[in-house]
Order: sequence, then C-alpha cells, then structure tokens
Amino acid sequence: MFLQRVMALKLWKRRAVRVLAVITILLLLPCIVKVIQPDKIYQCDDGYVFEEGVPTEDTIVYENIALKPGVYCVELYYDAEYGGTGPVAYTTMTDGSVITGGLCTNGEHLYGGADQTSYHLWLYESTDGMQMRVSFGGEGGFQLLGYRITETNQLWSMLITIILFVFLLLLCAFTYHYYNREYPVAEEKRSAFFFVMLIGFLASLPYLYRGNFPGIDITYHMLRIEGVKDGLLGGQFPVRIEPEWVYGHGYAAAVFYCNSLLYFPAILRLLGFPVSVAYNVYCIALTITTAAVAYYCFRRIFQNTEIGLLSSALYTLSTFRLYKLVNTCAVGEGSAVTFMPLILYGMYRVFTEDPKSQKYKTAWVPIAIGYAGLIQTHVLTCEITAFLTILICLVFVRKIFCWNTFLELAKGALAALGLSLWFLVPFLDYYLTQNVHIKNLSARTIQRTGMTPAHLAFHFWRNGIYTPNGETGVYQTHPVGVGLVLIVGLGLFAALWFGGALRRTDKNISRLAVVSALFGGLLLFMSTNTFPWDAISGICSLTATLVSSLEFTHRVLGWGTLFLVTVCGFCLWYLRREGKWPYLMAVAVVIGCVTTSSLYLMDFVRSEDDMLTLYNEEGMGFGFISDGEYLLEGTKAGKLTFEKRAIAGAGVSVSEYAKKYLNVKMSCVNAGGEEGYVEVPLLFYKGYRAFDGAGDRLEVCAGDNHVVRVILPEGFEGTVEVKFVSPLYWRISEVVSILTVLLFALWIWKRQRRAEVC
Amino acid sequence: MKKEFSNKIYFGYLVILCVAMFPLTCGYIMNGGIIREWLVRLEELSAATNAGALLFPSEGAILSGGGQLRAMNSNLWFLFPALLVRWTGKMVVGWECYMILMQIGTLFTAILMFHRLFEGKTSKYPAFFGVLLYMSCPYRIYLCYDLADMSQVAVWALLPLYIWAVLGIVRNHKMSQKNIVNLVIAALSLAGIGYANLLQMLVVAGFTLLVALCSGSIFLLLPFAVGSALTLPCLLRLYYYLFRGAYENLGIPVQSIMGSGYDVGEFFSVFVYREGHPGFGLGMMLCLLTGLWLMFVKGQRLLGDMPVSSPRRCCACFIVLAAVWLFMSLQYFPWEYVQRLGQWALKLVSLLETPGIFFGMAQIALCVPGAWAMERLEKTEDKGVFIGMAVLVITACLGVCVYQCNMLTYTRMPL
Repeated sequence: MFLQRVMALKLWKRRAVRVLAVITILLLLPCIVKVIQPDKIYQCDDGYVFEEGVPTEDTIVYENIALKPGVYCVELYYDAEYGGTGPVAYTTMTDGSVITGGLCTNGEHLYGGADQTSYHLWLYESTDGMQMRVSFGGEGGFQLLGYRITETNQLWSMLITIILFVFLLLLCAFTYHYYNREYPVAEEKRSAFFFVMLIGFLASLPYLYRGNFPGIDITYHMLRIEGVKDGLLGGQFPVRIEPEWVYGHGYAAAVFYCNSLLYFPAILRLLGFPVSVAYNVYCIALTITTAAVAYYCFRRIFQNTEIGLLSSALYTLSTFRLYKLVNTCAVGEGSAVTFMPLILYGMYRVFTEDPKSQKYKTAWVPIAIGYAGLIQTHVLTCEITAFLTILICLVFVRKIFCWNTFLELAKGALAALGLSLWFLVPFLDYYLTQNVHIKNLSARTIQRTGMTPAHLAFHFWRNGIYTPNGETGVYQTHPVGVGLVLIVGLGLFAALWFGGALRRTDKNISRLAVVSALFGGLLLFMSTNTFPWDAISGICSLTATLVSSLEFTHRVLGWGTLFLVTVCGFCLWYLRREGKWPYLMAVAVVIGCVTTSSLYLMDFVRSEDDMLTLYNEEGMGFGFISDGEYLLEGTKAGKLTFEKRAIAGAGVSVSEYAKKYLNVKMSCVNAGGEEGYVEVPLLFYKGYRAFDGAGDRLEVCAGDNHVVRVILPEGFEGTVEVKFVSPLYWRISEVVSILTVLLFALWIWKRQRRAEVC
Repeated sequence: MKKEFSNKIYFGYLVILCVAMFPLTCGYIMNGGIIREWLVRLEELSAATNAGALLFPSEGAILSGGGQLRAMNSNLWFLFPALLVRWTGKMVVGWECYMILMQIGTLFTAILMFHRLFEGKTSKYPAFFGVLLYMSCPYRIYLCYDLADMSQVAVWALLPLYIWAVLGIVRNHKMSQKNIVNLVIAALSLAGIGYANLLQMLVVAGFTLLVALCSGSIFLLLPFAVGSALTLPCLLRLYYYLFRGAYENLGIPVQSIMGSGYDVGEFFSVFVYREGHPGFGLGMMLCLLTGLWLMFVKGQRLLGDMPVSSPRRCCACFIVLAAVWLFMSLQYFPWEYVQRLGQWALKLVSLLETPGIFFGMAQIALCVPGAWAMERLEKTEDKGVFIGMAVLVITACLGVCVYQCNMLTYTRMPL
C-alpha cells in the first residue's frame, strides 16, 4: 500500500525532484569520469642509505613530490638487515604547503622481515612539495631502494557515495513532503520518528568528532573491519580469516567472532573512507537502529508511543550501553545491545498473547531476528541470553506445554539457527576440531571484578581509569553500572508492588514488570563482588570455563539494564493511568536524569585530548590480538612478524615467492633425496590447501610455530600454490542461511499481500 | 494582572542577572585565560605613567601581558575600572565593578534588543526567553570568566544595542527623529564594538553591509560609515599592523587557525568543553529542538506565521547568519585559503586567534529563533506542554550556567 502510494505521487514529474536529480547527475559526472580514467603511477628508483647504528628522526628521504588530489597507495621498497620481529623504521608523508587536514595519513612501520611496505594517503589539494620522511631506529643496516605512488580512484568513489547519500536523504525528505500532503501522516507517527531520531542523534554525539575516543578495544574492532575489507579484497566471501592480521599470517577472528554487521563499514572502507570515518558512521547507524528497535519493542509492549519513546531513551542512552560502545569501543557487545529488546518483546508476546489468535503466529519473528542478531554480533551475550531464556521458560513452564506456544518458540529457535548457520558451522567446526587458545582459558576468576552497590546507582559518571578490580573501589572506575534513574525506577516499582498497585493493572503487563524486576535485581546482584562467582567457578571444569569466559561480571548488566528499563517503562505506564501530574513529574525525572547522566558522561568522554585519528589500517599495526584467544594453542605470537620469503626445509629451494592476502605462489625444487617441506607465513587453521602446477593437492600440516607447512615429495619441482578454501559443509551452511533469508522474505511478502487483500 | 505578569518577567531578569554574576561573589580575581593581559593594561592605565598609552596599551604592556594578538583592542572600555583602581588601589575593585557593570549593561541591552525584536506581540515570553538564552549563553560565560577576555565582554554588551538600533532603522524607512536616534546609537555602538574588539567590529560591519545590500535599506549604510569613521584610530592601527611592519615588530606569530575550529560534536557539548569550545548549552538546544518539533510534528510554518513586517525577515536573517557563522567556526572552514589572499590576509586571520569567535556570534543569532520557537509553543493548544517546556528551558539555562560558574570558581586559583 505504502509503495503504491509513493508510486502514485509521480515524484519524477515534480519539479523539485527533477532539479535535485539534475544537480546530482551534474555532480556525479565528473566523479564518474575520474573513476573511469586510468590511475597514474609515480615511481622513483633513487636509493637512500641510512648509517648503521645511528638512529634518525623524521629524515626527509624524498621531497618535492607533486601530486593532484586523490587517494594514493604509497609503496616503499627497502632493504633491512634486522633479525628482530619489531619494526626497523617508520615512514610517513608530510606536506607543509597544503591546508590543515589536506593531507591525511598515519604512515606505516617498516618491518625487518619484509622488503617493502605500502600505505594509503588522502590528499585533498594539489601539491608539489610533499615529502617522504623516515624515522630509523638505528639497528642493523638499512637502505631505501625507491618508492612507487599509485593513484586509486577512491577519492572519487568516496565522493560518489556522499553525493548519492545526500541525494537519497533529500529524496526521502521530498517524498515525505509530498506524501504528507496527499496522505497526511498521523501526528503520533511523526512525533515518534522525530524523537527516535533525536534519541539516536543524542546518543551519537561522541561520533560527531574528528577521530575516536581511544577505548581499550578500538584497535581490535578496527582491525576486524580492516580484516573484512582485506578478506573481500583477497577474494573471500564470506570472510573467514582476516588475511593481514598478525603480520600477514591471517587470524581466524571472523570464524569465532561473527562480523556480519561489519561488512557495512568494510564496504565504506572499500569505497575510500578512512577507517575512523567508517567506524563512526557504523556506530551512528547502530545507535539510531538501537533507538528505533527499542522504541518499536517498548511501544508494542506498553501500547503507548510516549512510553515507547521514554523507554527507548532510557535504553539507548543507558550508562551500560554508553560504557560498552563509547568508552571501551566494544563494538560486538555494543551491537548485541541492539537486538536484545527484540528477544524480550518476542518472549513477552509468546507468553502473554492468546495462543489461539491469528496474530500469535508471528510471535516467533522477534525472537528469531533477536537471536540471529545476538549470535552474529556477540556470542557471549547470546550465551547469557540463552541462560535467561531458559530461566524465563522455567518460570512459565506451564505455558510451554501448550502446543502453539512451544511451536512459536521452536520456530523462533529454528529460524535463528537457519539465519546464523553460515556462522555457526565454521564456529563449531573450529571450536571442536582446533585447539585454539580460548578453549584453554578456564583459569580466570572474575569475582574480584565485581561491582559495589555504589557502582550500580552512580549517576555522574566520567571516563574513569580502572575497570572494577576489587582494589580501587569506586575510585576513578569506568562508568560501569546501570545508573541512578533505573535504580530509582526499581525502587518505585517495589513500592507500587508492595502497595498492592499491581492488582489494579493489566495482568500481562504487571506480570512482565514483576519478572523484569526480579530478573533485573538478580542480574544486579550477579554483577556485584558479593555474588559467589569464584565458588561457582570451582564446582567443575565446565563452570570454570563458563565463568572464565565471562571475563567481567558487568557483562550481565546488558540484560540488567534492559529489564530495569522495562520496569521503568511499567512505572511510567502505571503513573500515566493514575493522573497527569504524577506522570509529568516522572517524565521530567527521566529527562532530567538522562540529561544529567548520559550527556554528562558523553561530554566527559569526548573532552579527552588524546583522540585517536586513524586513516589507514597500517597506522594501527597488524599485531594486536588482545589475549590471542583465537590463536592455535602454543603459538608464540611474539615470534610472528612479516616475512618476505617462505622457509624451506633441508634440500628444498624456493624461488619466485609471491604472497597476496592468503594466497601464496612460489616455485619449489626438492633436491634433498627425501620428502621435504616449505613453510609459508600463514597460521595453520583448518581450510588451507596446497596445489602443485597440475592442480593436484599437496599435503599440508602445522609447521614451526603453527604456520602452514607444505610437504613436498621427493624430487618435486614446480609451482606450489597455497590458499584458503572453505570446506564444502561450510558452503552448504551458507546456502541454508541464504535460503532461510529468502523464505523469510517470501513469508513477509505473502503476509503483506494477504493483509492488503483483507 | 498585566502588571503582575510584567513583575514576574522583571523578577526573572533579576534572577538571570544574579546567576550570571555568581563568580563575582568570590571576591577575588580568578587566575586563568588572558586575565593577566587585562591586569597589565589596567595597571598601566591606572598608573597613567606612560603618556600617550591611554587609548592603546604601550608596547611594553603588550609584551609583558602576552597580548600581542589583541594589541589592537583599545583601552577605552577599561578607563572606568582603571580610575577605580587608581582611587581605591585595589585591582579587584576595578574588575568587580567592570564585570558588574558589563553584566547589567548586557542585560539591559539584551532586554532592549529582544523587546524590540518581538515588539507588537501580546506576549512577553519570546523576549524573556531571548534574554535568558543570551545572558546564560555558555560562550558568553566562557568569555567572561574562563577566557576572561574583557574586550569581548564589552562586545557582547554592545552588540544587542547595535542590533536594537539597526532594527529600528530597518523598520522606519523614513528619516524621522526617532530614526536619527537609532542612527546615532547604531553608529556609536558600532564604534564602541570597534574600540573593544576591532576584528569583531569588522565582521559585524561586513554583515551589516550585506544585510543593507540584501534588504535595500540605504539608511543602514549611515551608521556603518559613521561608526567606521569613529573607529579611525583603531583602523589606522590595524593598517599599521597589516601593512607597515608593526605586526612583525611586536613578534606576533603568523598562524593557522583551522585546527582550533569547532568539531560538529562540540556544538552540542553541555557540561564540559575542550578549551575555548563551549557548546550551545542545554537551554538553547531545547529551544531549537522545540522549533524543529513544531515544524516537523505540528506542521507549523514558523517563519511563515510570523508578522509580515520586520520580525519575520529578521528571524530568517538571523537563522541564515547563524548558519554562516556556525560553518565559519568549524575546523573544516578553509581559513588557510583566505590566508593565501596575501600577507595582509595571513596576518588578519592570524589575529582572529580562533574560529570560535564565530561560534559566539552564531549563538547571539540563534537566540532569536530559539526565543521565537518558545513563543510559537505558547500558541499551541496544550498549555501544559508549554509550561513544562518553559520550566525545562529555564532550569536548563540557569542550571547549566550555575554549573559552569561553579566549575570555573572551583578550578581556578585566585590571583
């Protein structure tokens, strides 16, 4: 119906739309011409020799480089006599003649094990005075052999994206304008849209700055984004192994930590946006989605727009969410928060609606989308959610024995499974067959990381320095809590409950509120340092592993926040029924608290001076892997560095070695008179295959420090190709997921058609 | 009834004034910002030992106070506090009296401006909210007590008077006695701004010229010409700085100001700000959001509903000015291209120090649509919404102002 109405508007006949289209085309044309033009290459073969043992700082090695605006790939060739794993030098480009911000690059480190490096720079103004600078650490001999600067068309693809985005935005505005004139949109809907956008905007404020707050996890998640980008460039889809991570050895983070949402920022990167911008745009999109999802769920639960909006504000601007997404830059956990309200809403529908009604047959949908979202963003949050789901099912155990209820739950679970199978199969495959480090992390105890009650109700949070650790108390801790307003809401609910107010309200909503209050209270208790986490950990190896995988007790506060927001929503719902003034007072308290707590926290987050501005992935290095959870057990991460050649076993010689992402090609000769081997700088995860020139498979196994070792038969002579190939059953799982998506879309389309006919 | 209402409004103005003067209750001069430069000037003026350095500070005072970049600002507005210092021998008396007078003066001129801007309206709410937003503006408080730029404090007191007079000129297209008064006051206030901060006068004069050309109001050219003529000593000084080597003699650095511009996110900071970058403030954000809400949700044509005469054009004009100034205050505005126009441009832009001053001017301009949005809200059916929003805006403005003043006094050592 909506689409038909939009079509009936005949937008293409409207003058404003035509003018907009013409302007857009005029702006796009030069960009498209630029994209089509062949890329220019600037090459210099002049050498530069650094004196051995003499460290230098910012030595100008090449100058007066003339370039036009564009995004360039700078390749620097060098020869370093350095046996260590760390960088031997650092290089970057500078230009004092362009305007501030006219040249953007973070440069790149030069590693002793490699003979060339490359990085990107963004130049927004023509120049003929660019300089290449190198800082040399002074260890070993070091000389530069020349450079090559290749123009990419990414500046223009970036501009095309921006122009198209602005065009679509304006087109939407025009469409709304004409639509509203023809078919007036209800004020309630306009109000809801306005406030959801406002909540999203306010929660996105930390991302409207140049650069990022250097949260502890930011490098890790930016490397994940870069990993997806590099994986796509390397020909993988879906990306399973991030090729450039761990100094080009490939890291299987994507197998264990699903990156389906990170394809969006990765595509922005491919279009030419700097990594900081891609990250910020992703977080803004995520925040607005969170506000919209929370509004949708709470609006449906409480059947009231205002309460939906207030609950959305409480949730989207909650201390926990800001802490995760803004302070620590925990993108996975922050993304999971977006999907949690869907599960709550789904469970509410399953356990409160009439199982015999026609509407009930859609109750599984939010559960399916919610669980699929959780699985594909943060498995740990999904585990907590599964645990809570079981508890909720136990509370409503009698209802589960109703066939329709059981069917809806089963449908939700199966659909979530189908949607996530493309990730779950490789995940379980690696988890069960590969001895990765994460399986051996059962020694961590977490009770000391628990919070005090003061943490939970703290209102005026700032950045903080410490994660709660049992030693510093509340002093300068990170903003870990649920915030005063939610605790006040819980207190008010307790007063209403014990005052008997619940008896006069809707049974379903009051039951939801009671369950939410109880579970919220339980989770608050679980997040404190008085909950016996250490005792639970000591019961058996399974509990030890489960508790250890939590890492911090505050992880349960995600659901704690959601339950408490539901409780607050109930209080607002109740007070609204009681009268205008109590309700208005409660609304004022909510707005006041959100303003003085969330905005306060966000202001302090961005008042830090040491902002992190990353343009190219090289600027952050390739080595950060947190605790190395996804390394094969026993791998010595400190020994891994860039390698410019393969390591040949006795009697084997290697020539014409070339490595690009996860693909290695080389010519090998085994003249040793027995079986030999060659090792390539790739971590040996399941899925690597080696082929000879005829396309026959060669045997691969784990080599020294778990790198890929190719076994060469006696007398072997020819080319060897090593690449990563997803097993067939992984591919089947991907097909199943695609089919699930298609079936889901078909089901929605059919329902809409049926609704229109009715 | 009407008188009672007026009394409430006047009481409101008194409260606003008191809040804006919180830091003065400390009884001492707070360290920080560029207060030392002002003190050196005052010391020199009060001693009156340096003949010929009455209107402008001597080179020695400029160098010892570290105020090379602000050497063109005259001492005219500091004569009175200097006299007080001379009589009492206490620097703090000069500072306190100057600030008290400036706060009262700003309140007075803001009342004049907003009442004229919204004159003819039955309600006094828009004028009240305009004054509230203006007086509690975080950027103004920052200038007064954080940066302690006494020259810009005077600009903020004089600018509403100038706008008040210009509005009078624009509305009376004929040369009446009333308009002559407007012309004289506009010219004097423009000159006053010039003696306080010449660069800001140039910006104001430039935009006045633009408005005059766009609106076809030929009378506006008169105060522009007279005001400029009255500031001839300052303009000559600027000429010597830009073209005659005085700039180099004082060792003023040639600098890029792009890096010190605002980030978009900084516009919306409330409780804390990076140095020199306070945001809109909560009250202003609420008012502007109210305007957006009325337009988008209620479908009101805010500018279209305004009286056909000048306020409608004024409000639109202030919105456009605010947008231009906000853009100029961003770190993305290419000031370095402007600096490439020549040596004079290089020096002139360097003298601006920061694009932040344009944010301050945008704040002044935004007070008008902000106040207008509150007036439109009052006209909506639900009075409860208006009362609620009015309470929120007043609380937000005063609350954030108190917070800002408290934090400043809490973190600044006395001199």
